[in-house]
Amino acid sequence: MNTRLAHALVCLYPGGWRQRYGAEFEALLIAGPGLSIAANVVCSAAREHLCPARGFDLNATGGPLHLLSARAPWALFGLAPVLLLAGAYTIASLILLSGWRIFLPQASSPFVPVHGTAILYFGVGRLLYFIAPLLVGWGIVLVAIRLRANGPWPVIGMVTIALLGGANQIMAARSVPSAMGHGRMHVAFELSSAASCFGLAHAGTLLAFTLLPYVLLQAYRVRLTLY
Amino acid sequence: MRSTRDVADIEEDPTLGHYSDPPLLVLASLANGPKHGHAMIEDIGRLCGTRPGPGTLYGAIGRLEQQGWIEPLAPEERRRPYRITAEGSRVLRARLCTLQRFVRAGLERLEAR
Repeated sequence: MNTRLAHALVCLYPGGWRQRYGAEFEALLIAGPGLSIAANVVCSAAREHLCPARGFDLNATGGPLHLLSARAPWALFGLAPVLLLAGAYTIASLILLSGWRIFLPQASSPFVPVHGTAILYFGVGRLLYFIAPLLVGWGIVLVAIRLRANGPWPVIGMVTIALLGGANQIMAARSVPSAMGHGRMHVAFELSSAASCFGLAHAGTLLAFTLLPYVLLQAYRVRLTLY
Repeated sequence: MRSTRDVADIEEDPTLGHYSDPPLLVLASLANGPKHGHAMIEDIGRLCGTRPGPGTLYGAIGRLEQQGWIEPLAPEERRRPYRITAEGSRVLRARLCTLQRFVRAGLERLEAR
């Protein structure tokens, strides 16, 4: 294999792993058959990031996330995801509010059919609004797997994010009923919405999409640690 | 009874007989002496017909070393040989005995058909 390609492939692995095995692994790759083994190396590097071998993971030996996970798991898996979700909803609301003012100055609501560039502009805001709980949930999964967090906090964090994602609503109104008033927009978390079938189904779907990968990755990690 | 057709099927399609359990294969490869990565790949290929990819091999090496079942020796240029530890030999023997019982029982059932 080409020396540069071998070096690039080794760089895909976590730092701790590279320090221990990098030189000998690169020598093995250079002596290997070439591109046909690249996929195998990429998959193995991804696995080392997700489920690092104990002792070769820098985070597991006192990194800041590991310390936070040990001392204040409620902050890492509970508070931080909620703040991230709030930030994502704020950005989505600002995109929708600015789009309302730019593209629909006469409309009484931003939730009307749009055309041209407005489709892309509003699309970005809506995409962020709908996928934010999923992204935050997957973030919890990755951090929990990476840090080998086994307590209840990752699951509590995922359930909280799913409930917030299912219960929230963006509300838009003008201060004066006519089209001349200033537009206002805010994100509301309504229990009535969460209790409704749609809210519960939405929360359940979000939870399934985050909890399922978590369970599968935990099972995979346990299988790896059998050796 | 095992028919000649069954034997012919396996011989015609070598992939049917492949066995893939990288950590066990690494332990088995090191059972007759220390080896570095490339030698292990070649040896495992001869043992079971499947050559593990380098990523798979080093994933298994990392976990076996973490368990204390293999240990590194002094590097030879950039290649580092590994050898099986006493604990690794004990684990390998136990797993092979389990596999042997499993293989014997499975073949007996096939022959009883």
